This record gives sequence, structure tokens and C-alpha cells, in this order.
Amino acid sequence: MYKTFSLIILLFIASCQSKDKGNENNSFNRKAFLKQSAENIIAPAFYQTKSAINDLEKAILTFKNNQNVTNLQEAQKYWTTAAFAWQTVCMFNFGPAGEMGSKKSLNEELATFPVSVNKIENYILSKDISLANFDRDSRGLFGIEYLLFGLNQSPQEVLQLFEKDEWRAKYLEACIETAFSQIAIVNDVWIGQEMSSFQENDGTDIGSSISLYYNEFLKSYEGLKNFKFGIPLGLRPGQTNPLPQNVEGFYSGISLQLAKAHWQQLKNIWEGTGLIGPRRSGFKEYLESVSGGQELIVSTQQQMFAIDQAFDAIPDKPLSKAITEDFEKVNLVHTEMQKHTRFFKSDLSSLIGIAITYSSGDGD
Amino acid sequence: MEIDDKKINRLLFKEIEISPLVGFRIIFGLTTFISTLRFLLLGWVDLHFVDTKIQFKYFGFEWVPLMPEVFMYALHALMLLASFGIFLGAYYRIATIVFFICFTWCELIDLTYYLNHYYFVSIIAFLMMFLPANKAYAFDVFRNPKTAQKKVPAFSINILKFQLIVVYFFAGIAKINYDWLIHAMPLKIWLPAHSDMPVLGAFFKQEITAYLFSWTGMLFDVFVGFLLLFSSTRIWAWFCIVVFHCLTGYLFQIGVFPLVMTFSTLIFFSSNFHFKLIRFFARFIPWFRFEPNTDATVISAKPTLIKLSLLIWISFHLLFPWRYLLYPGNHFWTEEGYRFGWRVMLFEKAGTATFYVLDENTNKEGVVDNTDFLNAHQEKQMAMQPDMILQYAQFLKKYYETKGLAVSKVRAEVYVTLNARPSQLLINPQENLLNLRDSWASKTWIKPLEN
Repeated sequence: MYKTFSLIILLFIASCQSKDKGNENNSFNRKAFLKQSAENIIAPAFYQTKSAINDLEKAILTFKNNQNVTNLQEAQKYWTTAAFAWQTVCMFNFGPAGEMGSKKSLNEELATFPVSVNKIENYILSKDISLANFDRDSRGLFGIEYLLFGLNQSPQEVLQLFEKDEWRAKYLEACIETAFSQIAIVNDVWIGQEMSSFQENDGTDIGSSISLYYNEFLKSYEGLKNFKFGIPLGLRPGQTNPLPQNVEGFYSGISLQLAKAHWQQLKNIWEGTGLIGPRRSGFKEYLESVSGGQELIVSTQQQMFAIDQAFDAIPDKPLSKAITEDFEKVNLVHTEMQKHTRFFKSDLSSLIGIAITYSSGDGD
Repeated sequence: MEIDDKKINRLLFKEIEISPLVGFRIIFGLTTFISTLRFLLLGWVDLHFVDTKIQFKYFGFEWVPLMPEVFMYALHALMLLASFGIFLGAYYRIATIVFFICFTWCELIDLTYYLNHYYFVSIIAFLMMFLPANKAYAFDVFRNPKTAQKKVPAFSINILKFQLIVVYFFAGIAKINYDWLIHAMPLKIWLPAHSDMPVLGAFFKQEITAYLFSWTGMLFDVFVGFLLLFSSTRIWAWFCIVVFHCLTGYLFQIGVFPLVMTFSTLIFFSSNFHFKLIRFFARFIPWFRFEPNTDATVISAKPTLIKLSLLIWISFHLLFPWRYLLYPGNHFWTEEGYRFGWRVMLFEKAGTATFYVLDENTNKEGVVDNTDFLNAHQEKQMAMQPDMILQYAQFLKKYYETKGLAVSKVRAEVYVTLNARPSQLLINPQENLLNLRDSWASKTWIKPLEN
């Protein structure tokens, strides 16, 4: 009985096979994907960011000890480099960069924006440089930005503020020291144990490396769309006016370039392009190996191109200015990103079967 | 209608050994105890009932309230206690009633957490309230030996067997569809995603494995319930159940239910088997050793009443899962009549839903960030299920009205991918969702699935 049983099944399968010739090859190597992502994309980006923040720290110390316009401008230059480097790691907000106990994720600890000018000025006034509080919008890279660039102020004017109150430089020093130690810890763990544990955890369930990597990638995309465009543009229900001062990089005026860099890195991750290494293994390659993947690759690339074009159409000026002067052009980036969301969100995770929540599925 | 009365009477009222029913009681008490404990330890009371801003309601059960944190924990503590009472056969009637109410209450709070197997547990708990599973090998008998009985009317065990066959059979019937059998979907997605599994993982990359699993899965579900009925096939059927549930339990994120089903199906085994099972537990539970000397079989209700109740119950469970046939279109896509029908792990589906809220005061339309209101699980479920989309639209209206907006329109752009098809619009993105109401009627505002 069992023999005929299994024979019938096999015959069915054989007949299906001949009719439904799938051209996809399920040969995707998840381990290699993780290895390449870790070695070529994530770790070099963290190293680059750590170095950039280290350089910034040195420049800030030089400025603190020898306050003049040249040293201030030097620090501003290094801040810009660090801010660009940050755009290449802000989406790796898991593992050593993830939340742990009372410590928030690296993204929140190091790069909260917009910062609160009032809080920063109050801490300086009250000579409180402990940073022992939960006001993450009073420090971090963008707190440092405010201190270095000021509010529409020339380097001379910013310099005068530092000369007026010695606690301003002390506060700045505290901020950069904390920022550096935060990025350094994450970088060290990545170079060490995370490098191997990330590669070993090669399933697709929740908590697996690919699920963490993907989920934070997606969150970062949504963050770019919602927080760097949506809210500054005033697109939330109930927002009556745009909030141009809420863009990332408001004080330095490089908001547009930062947003572009963030978008570029997200594209790189999808395509599998790292800072080093020739081999490409990204979500794109993963898609090539699954049913329906080719169609999704085409749609994704088309829409990515539309986003690129929308970015390029914004005149070269700070986003905060562009929002007031060329609202529709900035808005178009948001619109195109909104259209693109499904290609990164439900379509991608569904096709490659990544778990996105802990809750039990409806199973038998 | 001609009915063989004798046969029916034998199926319902023949006096048979009580031990399978007691064995089932022990298993049910133990598995629900474990699953409640697991739920607590995983911190899911907070996740499901405390850290949420919105609950999606079951149609017709909108009145089921969410209670404050302390109360929700108390409810789960009660459930733990009750399930242990069921296990021991202690204050059994109260324990089953308490368990049924607490469990079903928690289940009905948020639709996004709907699972067929929560429904299964509720059904079984409901039946258990009426079954004499505490009349032997139980604390209640030890307490009051006069209530002891060695035999029970056959319906009290057969109804449980019926319920289990229903689960497998309908799960199997549901697998007879084009995507599942001809395209091996969604297993073609799910299996390669688990190629890291030792030994078997290598096979999961092969497309033929997906076909093999799809077809055997379907045949297994359709037939296994019936094969459990006959002593010659029973042990093999149960062996398949063990393998099947081990595999699905390993592969998919489906919680304790493989465990529940694997052990629940032991009810098909002989009274002798259950007697041994009880004796095993009696090593640890002294009351299970107590064996009164009695031949009494007590049926408290009238046979006609029992017959009528069972007729209604069985008809409901045989007919209700088919209601999807009354709706037009692909029910995987529309999900009309989909729930409470034992359709499990049938498709891979995901959506991206963007909501737009129109404020009449400013005539400005804003884009909603779903993460402001929903957790990842809620968002995932809502973004592909039309009735939840409506509920969310109503929630958004209420929420933003408390923020001073005059909300006259909520619309949503919802793209859904089903079994690796390119995502397509689920509903008309211009439709004002505030004008729609959920009902039993077909949701004509759902766009038909193309391709």
C-alpha cells in the first residue's frame, strides 16, 4: 500500500516538474552573503566612521586648546567628513549597535536630530557637562554640529561664543569624547566577535543575522523618508506647516548631501556594493535566486532611478532652504520614496522569506 | 431522512472506558499550562496587551474589553491555575469554565493575533466544560469518591476525535489549490529560506522538495485524521503526525501548537494505552492512584438533549469552514470567510499600507507613519487584511480628531504580494474608508486579484 502511495506522489511531482519549469536556481549562499556583507560593507564602514570621528575629536581638542577661526574651520571640516561617514553605518543599528538595557541604539545615542538648542544652551549655562541625562537631543554628532556651526553664524561669531564661556568648549569636548567612545566600542565588537557570530547566525528566523540586517535596513529607509523628508516637509496629518529646521544637518547646511549619501548607502546595500572588495552579494543577488525575484529587481531598479532623478532635480542648496523655496521638488523625493517602499518592505521580505516579528504564525 | 439509530446510539451512548478521556484531560491541562507559561515568560502579555496603542476587534466581539496591565497578568495567572486544575482534575468544572473564559477573552482582544489554534483551544476548552473527564484519576474523585465512574458514554470521547479530524481534514482540503499543488507555493519560498537546517537543509534548496512537501502535506492532512480511527493504521498515522509536526515546528514560527496537536491526537489510542499513560503520571500525582470500586455511569443530561446539542455542534463545525464559498473571488486574496476554517500556513502574503488622513480644517492630506501606532506584528497583519484596514482607518480618524483635526477622509494605498506575485493594489486608493462598514456581506471594494 505504502509503495503505491509514494509512487503516486512521485508521479504527480514528475508531471508537475515537466510542466512548470522554473528558471530560478535556489543556489543562493546565505553564508557567503553574510560574510561579504560583514567584511566588505559593514565592518569597513564602521572602521571608516570610527576614524572620522577620531579625527574630529583631535580637531576639536586642538580647537579647544587653541581657539581661533582656522582651528574652528578645521574642526568643521572634520565634522563634515564624520557626518558623511555616519551615513554609511546608520542602518547597521543592530548587534553591538542595537539597544541594550538602558542604552539606546547607536542611532539614537550618537545621531539624534533635530537637537534642542535650548537644552544644549541650558546645560552649558548650568556648567553641566556630565551628559548623564536622557536628553539625547542635546549631544551626539548633531549637537556637536550646532556647537561648531552655530545658528546662521559666521566662524568669527561662533568663535566669540566659545570665548565668552569656557564651558562651551568643555561641553563640546564631553560630547565628542562620548561620541567617540560609543562608535569605538561598536567598531571593536564588529572587528572582534560580531564578525564571526554575524556570519554563523545564518537562518532567516527572527533574530537571525539576515533578519536583523534587513529589518534595520528597512527601518533606515523609512527613517530617511519620514524623518529627513516627511516631517521637515510637514507631511504628517495635523502638521500645518513644514519644519525646515528639522532636517538632518541643519546647522552645517549639508542636509541635502547627507540625505543623498544615506540613500546611496541604502542602494549599495541592496546591490551589495561595499567600501572594499570586488564581489557583489546583496539583496539583489538574493532576489535573483528566488521565485518572482527577477520581476522585483526590475521594479526596484526602475523606482530607484526615479528617486535618483528626484534627488538630482533639487537645486544645490540646503534642504531646509529647498523646502521653503522649491517645496515641490523636495516633495517629489518623498513621493517617489513612498512609491518605492513596498519594493523594500513587503515584497522583498516576502519573496526571500525573512521573519519580521516574533509572534507565532498561524501554523499546523 | 433515514438514520441508523442503533449505530448512532452506539457512537454516542455506548459505555466505554474512561481512561482516554482522562488521558486527554491530562494532556490538555499540561499543554495549555506550558503554553500559558511560555506566553508569560516571553513577555507577550506586555507585547500583546500592555505596550499597544490600538486593538483590532473581532467582528461581533467588539465589546470584549482590554483590561489594565495588572488585570491582564491576573487573567494569565488564573489561566495557569485553571489549566493546572484541569491537569489534576481538581475543581474541574470550575477550572474548565475559568480557563475557557480567560483564554477566549485574551484571544478575542486583538484580531491581529488570530490563530486557528487559539480557536481550537477555545473549542476544546468549551467541550471540556461538559465532559466528565474528572470522574476518575482525579483530585475530585479523591475528594468525593461517590462521583467516580469507570465508564463514560462514547460521545464524550468521540466528539474530541471529531474535532481533531475536522482540523486536519479542512487543513488538507484547503491545500488543494492551484498555487499549492501546481506551483508548490509558498513552500518554494519557505523551504529554501531554511537551507541552514542540518542534514535536510541541503534538500530544501531543491525545487522538487517543495513539490514533495506540498503534495505529501496535502495528503497527510486530508487522510491522517481518518487513519487514526483504525487500529491497523493508527500507530503509523501517529508516527506521521510526530514527523510532520516536528518538521513544521522546526521550520516555521508557529509556537507550541505542534506540541498541542501531537499529543492531543493520542486520544485516538486505546484505553489500555491511556491507562498506562495515567499510571505514569500517577507516579508523581498520588490522587491519580486512587481507584474506586464502582460500575456507575452517570449521564446527567437527557439523551435527546445530548443528541440535539451534538447535532447542532457538529453541523456548525462541518459547515462553517465552507462559508468562503459564498464569497466571490480568491479567498486567499480577499480573506472573506477565511478565518475559523483551519486554513493554516497556506500562503506567503505581505503588504505595505500607506494611510492618508484628510483634515477639513486645512484641506490638507497627511501621510501616516504606521509605526507611531502599531507594533511590527500588527502592521504586518493589518497591511494585508481588508477588515483590519477599515478598523485602522476608523482608529486614525478618532485619534486625529482628538488632536484637533476634522477628519473627513481616510484613504489607503495598499500593495499586497501573494505567493511571490508582484505586489498589486488590494483596494482602490481613492476610496474613503470612513464610508465603509465591515459586515458579513461581500466586500465589493476589494480589487480582484489579477494573474
